[in-house]
Amino acid sequence: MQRTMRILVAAFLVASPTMVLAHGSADMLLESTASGGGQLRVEFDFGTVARVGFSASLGAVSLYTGIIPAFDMLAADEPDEGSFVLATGTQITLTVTAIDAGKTAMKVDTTSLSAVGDTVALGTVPFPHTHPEYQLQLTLPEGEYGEGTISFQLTSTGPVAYAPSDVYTLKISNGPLPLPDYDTSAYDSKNVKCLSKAAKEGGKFASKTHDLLSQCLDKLQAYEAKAALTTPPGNLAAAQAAAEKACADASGTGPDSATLLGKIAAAQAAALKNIQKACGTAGSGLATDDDMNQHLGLVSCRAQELVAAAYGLGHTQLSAFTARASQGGQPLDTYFPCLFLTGSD
Amino acid sequence: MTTTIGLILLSAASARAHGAEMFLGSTAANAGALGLSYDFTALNVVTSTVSLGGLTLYTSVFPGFEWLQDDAPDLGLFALKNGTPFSMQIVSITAGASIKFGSVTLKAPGDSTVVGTTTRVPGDHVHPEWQLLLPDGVTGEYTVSFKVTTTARAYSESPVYTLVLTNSMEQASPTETPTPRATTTPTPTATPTFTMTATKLPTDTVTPTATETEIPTATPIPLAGDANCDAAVSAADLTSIVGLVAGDSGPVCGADVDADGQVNEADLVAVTDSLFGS
Repeated sequence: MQRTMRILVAAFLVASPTMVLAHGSADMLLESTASGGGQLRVEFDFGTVARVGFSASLGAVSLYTGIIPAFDMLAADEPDEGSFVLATGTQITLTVTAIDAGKTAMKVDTTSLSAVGDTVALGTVPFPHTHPEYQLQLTLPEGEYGEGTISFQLTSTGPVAYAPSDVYTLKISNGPLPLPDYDTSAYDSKNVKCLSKAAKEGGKFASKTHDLLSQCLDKLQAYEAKAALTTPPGNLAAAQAAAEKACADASGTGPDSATLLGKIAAAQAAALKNIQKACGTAGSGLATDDDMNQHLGLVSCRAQELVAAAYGLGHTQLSAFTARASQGGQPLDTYFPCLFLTGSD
Repeated sequence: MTTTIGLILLSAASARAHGAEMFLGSTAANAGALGLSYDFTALNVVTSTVSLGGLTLYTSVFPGFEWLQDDAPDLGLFALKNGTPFSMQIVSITAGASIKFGSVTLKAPGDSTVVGTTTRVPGDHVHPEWQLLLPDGVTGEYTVSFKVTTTARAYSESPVYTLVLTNSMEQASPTETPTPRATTTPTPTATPTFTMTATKLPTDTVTPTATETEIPTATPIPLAGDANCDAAVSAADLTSIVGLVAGDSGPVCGADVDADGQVNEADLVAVTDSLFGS
């Protein structure tokens, strides 16, 4: 009896929920949708991101890496949630279904996943808590914002026939600032003040970016409306001048010289300077200056997405407007990589 | 007793989950110096992550930092007080090596960062990203000498530990053909001054070869009860045996304690008894 109890205690504890508690919501929990069967499922908020930090410069590429979220097993059935523990002996395989080739990748143990169709055996249930290493490669200097995605699906073999999981898409980003974890020692008054300032300045910067882009697109739409509705076409010079003033440099030396992009860049520089006043030029204990700059890049991206939601043709309109040779330089996406609606344009 | 076993096993579960972790404690109850229980004689393998521009980044998340949940006098370590912050400070480091915690990278002597704060949540741990950034084709051993510090007044800083990273899988395997060490890797001046007994190496296993430029060639003899092949018998082996009984594949080494040709509950009981008494 004593021996049996020991075995039971050992077996129970091995499958205990402690590893879940150890990482809280940072883990991707593997489970099924029904007791003794159903579909494989990953319990995780895929609206969040896998945050990566700068690791190294490899030629012209800045490499960012991170190890959270990890994979873990659901510890106990949660019938109310429709979540069930996978059967012991189930072998789980991860297959990449979509990826930003050359930009995102992940490594599980020693297996690198960088192309569609790449697979890795995560393990046999109950397998250990596993930290993939997420990678983001940007052809940008260190400290510039960027993000990409990896989509994957889980399949299994073993004693129970589970249906393959849905396809999940994980966003890998260097933008969000590190969050205070259970490491309370790092969450001191300086960091609180720093993060508070970063949030405030981020909000102001988002508002500024949104306003500048909206003003530009308003003028562009006014120009296009006047051109389309005036019969015969009247003098569009005034409308064109207004659009150029709001969107691009009227002198034609490039879209980033004096108006829209110039103002956005100036607003970002001002936000970073104000953050540095609160955080110190070396950043706080939680975030470096590069982290802050990347974070502001993320803010700008989200503001662009918001504009794109309101101005469904914004990307097309601005592309057409800035496509003139005199305003050449770089493609629009270089300046506004997030100014489009997913599935449009 | 059940509680004690439970906590130890929970830590063991984590240890298994992450391979060999560095377990943090202090040399006296609620006092003394910080100390790590880990086999610092082992080579820690980092594998290729990205190759670009003539450079290759090798990485690994092992070993991580985990803090003892219970006193372990047999290891010479005691559990730290809940809420004890601790940091890693580099003493010396071979060029090309670095350790990354989130967005903070340690790559030069004096570099330091807060690693974590102890909790009473079994299994809590922190993984660094151990990294080697090397020109393509360069292999070898690279050292990181560090100490663990804390702002908690009850404890003093740890001795200096030296952890060896290698991007040569061959060097890390005792059964492979010996490979000369890279000439680009200077040996560290700092050496461990604090040797824990937690990772007892079997006396009849790996035998270093005669010169520094060669790797061990002897075949290890399994230690009875050492199911996770870390050359020691500890609570972590219980977890491994449970997994094997449940059908896991993976390390076996000395899991078949009673040498009956199979790994079963009897082996689990034998190791449990040896660790905690019958």
